[in-house]
Amino acid sequence: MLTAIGQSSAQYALRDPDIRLMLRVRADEAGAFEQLVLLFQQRLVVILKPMVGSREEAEDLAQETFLRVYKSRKNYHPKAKFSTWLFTIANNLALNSIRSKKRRPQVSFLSTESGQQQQLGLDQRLPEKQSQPEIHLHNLELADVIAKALDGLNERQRMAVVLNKYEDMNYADIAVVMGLTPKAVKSLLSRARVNLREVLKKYIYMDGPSPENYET
Amino acid sequence: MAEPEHPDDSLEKEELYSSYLDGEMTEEEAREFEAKLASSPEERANFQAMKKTWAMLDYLPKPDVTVSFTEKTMERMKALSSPTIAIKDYSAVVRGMVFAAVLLILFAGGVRVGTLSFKETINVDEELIKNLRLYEYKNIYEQIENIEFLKKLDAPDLFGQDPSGL
Repeated sequence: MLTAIGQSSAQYALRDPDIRLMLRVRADEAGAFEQLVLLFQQRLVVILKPMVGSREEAEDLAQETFLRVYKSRKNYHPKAKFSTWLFTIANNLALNSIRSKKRRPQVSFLSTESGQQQQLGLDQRLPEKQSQPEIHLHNLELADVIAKALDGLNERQRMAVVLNKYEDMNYADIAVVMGLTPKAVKSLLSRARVNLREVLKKYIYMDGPSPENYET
Repeated sequence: MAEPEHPDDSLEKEELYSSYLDGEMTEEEAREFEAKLASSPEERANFQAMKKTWAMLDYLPKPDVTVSFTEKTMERMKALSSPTIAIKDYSAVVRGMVFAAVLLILFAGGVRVGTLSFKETINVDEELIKNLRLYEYKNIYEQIENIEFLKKLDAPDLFGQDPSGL
């Protein structure tokens, strides 16, 4: 199989087991596509949900991403990590979906985990002048606040954040997914962090230590 | 009095925080950055705030995929591989072809029957023309019992011309 896909592709395939799986999908090997779906479905939905706001919509887009992969399987020639290619498709679909929603006269809303929908601006979403010691946020409430903070970022910042945070992608890979330069990704992530810090600064020291060890 | 910080300087500083947190610095850059943090409590506080903010994102629960997701995706994939519409069309085509074949058979049968009838008619007519004289005397011939009697009728001594000329 490797000789058929060329030396460069073969080198990628040897390094990346996901590419080997995709090459099996390309060869119409029974069960390979299902294996691919099982392997990536969760990761795709995790990336897409902050982009589109609801799990249902994230799943629709994830499904569409897999179908695009399947439809273009015969033209697949590995040039980068498989996940980079997959997330590039997902990113394009998510941006198209967001743009088409913007074109429609539809009120932007936040869909929280509890299913509530809110139509507030970012500044309104978070309590401005609550005294910190009085508030004890449980994890779920904190998650709600963070979801809203993420929703306040523009879609490019949001995508850069989720790819970096949840997929642990470096700037070069994010740049490929988003069609940007690594320098532009660095700038996007930096601005996103500043925005998040501004919104979340009231909460960062109030709920005990974060899940990670902060010491460098 | 300290000079107010230029916005570009601030942006550059924030980018340095990001690069350091994301492990995108070279070893040398990282060492320089750490030295700067060590010498400035203000920078250290800013950096810690950014680091904690980033860590807060871990509180965001990761959504689980619904149980039927894989099944639904596979169903849609199978629909792509063998579209149902095409199968329905194919069935309709087969039904149409069967109907057309039946019509063709019936038509061919009709033509065959018609041709045979026509040929039969021609044969009968030809036979009639060929034996026309025979048919003209059919009534007389029917009264003759056999061919021997017919030959005798032709004999002059029985029914020949009267020598007397009568």
